[in-house]
Amino acid sequence: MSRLSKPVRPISRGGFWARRGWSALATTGLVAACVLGTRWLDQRLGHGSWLSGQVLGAVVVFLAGFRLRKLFPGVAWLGTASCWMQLHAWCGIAALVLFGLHVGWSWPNGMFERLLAVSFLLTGASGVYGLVISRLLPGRLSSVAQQVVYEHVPLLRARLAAKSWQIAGQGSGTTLARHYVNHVAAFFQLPRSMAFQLAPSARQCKRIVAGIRALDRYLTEPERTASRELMQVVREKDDLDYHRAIQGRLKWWLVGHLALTGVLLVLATLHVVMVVAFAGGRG
Amino acid sequence: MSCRSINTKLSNPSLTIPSTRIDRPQRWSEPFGDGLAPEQVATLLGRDPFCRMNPAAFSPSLPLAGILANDCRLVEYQPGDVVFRQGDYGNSAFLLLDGRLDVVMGAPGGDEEHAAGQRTDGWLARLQLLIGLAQADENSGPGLSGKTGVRESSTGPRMFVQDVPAILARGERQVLETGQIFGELAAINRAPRSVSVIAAGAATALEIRWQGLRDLMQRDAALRQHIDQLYRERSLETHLRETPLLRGFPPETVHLIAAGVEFESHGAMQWTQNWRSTAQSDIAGRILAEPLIARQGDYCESLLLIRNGFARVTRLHGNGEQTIEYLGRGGVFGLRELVHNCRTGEQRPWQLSLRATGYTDMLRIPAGLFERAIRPGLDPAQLPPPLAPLKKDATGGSGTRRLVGRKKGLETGLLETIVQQRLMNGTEAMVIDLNRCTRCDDCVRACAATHEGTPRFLRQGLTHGQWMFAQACMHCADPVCMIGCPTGAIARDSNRGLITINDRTCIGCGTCATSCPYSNIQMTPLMDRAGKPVLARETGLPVLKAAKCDLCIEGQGGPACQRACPHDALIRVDLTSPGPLQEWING
Repeated sequence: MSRLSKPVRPISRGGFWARRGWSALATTGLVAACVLGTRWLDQRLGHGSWLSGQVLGAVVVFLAGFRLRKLFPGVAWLGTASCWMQLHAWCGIAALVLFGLHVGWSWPNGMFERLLAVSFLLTGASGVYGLVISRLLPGRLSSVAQQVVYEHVPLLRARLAAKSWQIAGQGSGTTLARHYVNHVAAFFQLPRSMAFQLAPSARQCKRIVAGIRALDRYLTEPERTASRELMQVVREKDDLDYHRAIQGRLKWWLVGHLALTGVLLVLATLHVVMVVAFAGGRG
Repeated sequence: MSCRSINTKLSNPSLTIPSTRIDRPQRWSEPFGDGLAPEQVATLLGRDPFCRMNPAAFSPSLPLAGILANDCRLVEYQPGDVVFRQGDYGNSAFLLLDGRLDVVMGAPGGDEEHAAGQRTDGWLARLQLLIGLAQADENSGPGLSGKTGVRESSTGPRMFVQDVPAILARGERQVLETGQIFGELAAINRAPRSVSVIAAGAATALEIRWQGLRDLMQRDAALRQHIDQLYRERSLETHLRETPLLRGFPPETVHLIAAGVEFESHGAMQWTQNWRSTAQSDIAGRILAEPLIARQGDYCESLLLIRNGFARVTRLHGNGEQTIEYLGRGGVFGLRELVHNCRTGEQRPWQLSLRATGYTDMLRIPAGLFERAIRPGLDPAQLPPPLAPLKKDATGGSGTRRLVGRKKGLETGLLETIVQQRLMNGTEAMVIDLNRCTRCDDCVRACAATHEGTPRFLRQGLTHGQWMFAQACMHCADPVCMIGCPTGAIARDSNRGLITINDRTCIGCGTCATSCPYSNIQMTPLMDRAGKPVLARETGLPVLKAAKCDLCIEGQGGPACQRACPHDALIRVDLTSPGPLQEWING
């Protein structure tokens, strides 16, 4: 095969660790410089909070810029999303430190400042939560045998419901069909509970499967074959719901994080306007 | 293929076509071109090499005259016509019947230099492109840098060069005389044309599509030997020099090796035909069903080089065979045993087995030739380590012993998945680490944003453990999708070796989508600026175009999907050897 010049792209995850190392180093340096700078200003009767506020503002704008980068995936000079993600995570942590420095490690007094602080901390907390779940949940998803696209779940669910209905109707007797209508159909027709969405577990699936298995001695041979198929479909449905719950959490977390970021940006802008307006010629 | 496109197709009632009954297509339902008239076939049967073929050797269902009538066409060339260009993919070979053709060798401004001249990876090159100091060259190909044009011919639009003498005067060239066969290697091996051929004067050639050539070679030993001889004369030494093991060997040594090499082919060239049906069957049985090239424990009498295709390296494990590795083009098998035997004087057998996966073309270098010509030239530092000593049992005989020490490689299950699903055909496969992927779909959105709103891949596909091989064009080493494209719209980009589709020449026949063994090409409706499907004037049906991943070839910085992944979960990786994936997985 003639492959004249392959595009040069990183293969090794050596770059993976380098990106993380450099991001950590850069943000640590930024925080250290800011701490030293504010201390230096405070010792000279200046306003260290002015410097920390400006740096914090710049960091928050940079953090919000990650969203903008995603809008321009084809612009090469913007760098890779992976680099941005690393800087985003480390700058997010740095922003929490800078925030503490800015408010003097004490709870603000004014109503607006409190609102701003709550907004900032909620955004930061949602970011940390996102970081944690984005590291933990993918592994749980990949441990499920079937991999599905979130948007395909309703379609697949409808297919499984139809399939289960068809299986339950098989066979010569009515025992399995009656059990299905009374105890299993709701599992396929209704959405899962909020408790399942928050902490998905296989409890309900196991209960339904155990119920079908307990029915076994009352079934005819064709029904028995159908019941085994039905148990398999129940498990598939449970896997599907599990995927939906976990993927939903990963998606809705991001929506929440973005909404909180929007609120924070508005409040922070107002804060800057007020600070500048009431600066009294300082700064 | 986007969900949107699929949904569009499903929801569009105009696409619901009532089923019709047609005759089952036969081998010669669609002859090559217009086919040949009986009198033309009769004339050809009286000419060399067909007059020397034995018609009785051909089966009644595939007679020699039938092959000539249906798998061949006559092509007339005018002065300046380009028969084919270096780097092109072709499905046919040629027999020059009349006139003279010139082979333009790719030496001046060859592939490597040509590519280097257009490299857009470096920041300097990008800056040059940006400020206009350089421009992307739409040159017709190495060795044909003269002014070109296109004119109509009996076989469709044909490229011609205007200043033939200038091109012929430039660099090395060869002349093809009447009766010579050319272009056979690219046709048989699905490899790119290694030279360009142009007509200095009027000429007539018989173009034989590869199916016909294959059948002729199967039935006529003389032709087969002739083709092998042509390979030996024209390409073998080049191929040997490109093999990593023999790189840097003096020309006379390579010549000596070429003279002693034996050719072998294993498996079926049409591996995609029954592969889908067997891909899901029992792994142990499938391994055993693969043609055995070398058996573990047998006398190690030669060094095996892979010329084309892929082979599976296995070792006996219990009652079955375990995949250890796979080898692609340029791969070497048996080196460790031969080096060990040369060093120690022992006669250690093959330590592993080698099986053909799909279709494998091999070069066999006899042990004697290896010892005489190759081993003295090998760098001692790069020689494989000696085999483990044989353990002696209580009676002094050889007892159980460890086989070849295993390199730290890919996990067996993953290896077997890659081999079994023929993923090792991919030079740019999309692999997703599901333990890192948050299913955010940033990759899909990035792809859509760089392709007019329609993503060119599906973030789903074959999975093994935490690894997903997503449904994105893998830009295969053996691009079977290119076989049969009637307009040549799907072709390998001569600069980067990627498989691209030219939207302007794609007629939406769907041949490539049907041929792709991995279902990575989709037929999508062509949309107008308002986002509505474009309809064909005659039928009122949407105009379809083949769509697939182009690896963002027109953009800078590489594929958008990989660049858009915030979690380093997605990579485009060359699977033709296990190394790159191994490197990525191990970090």
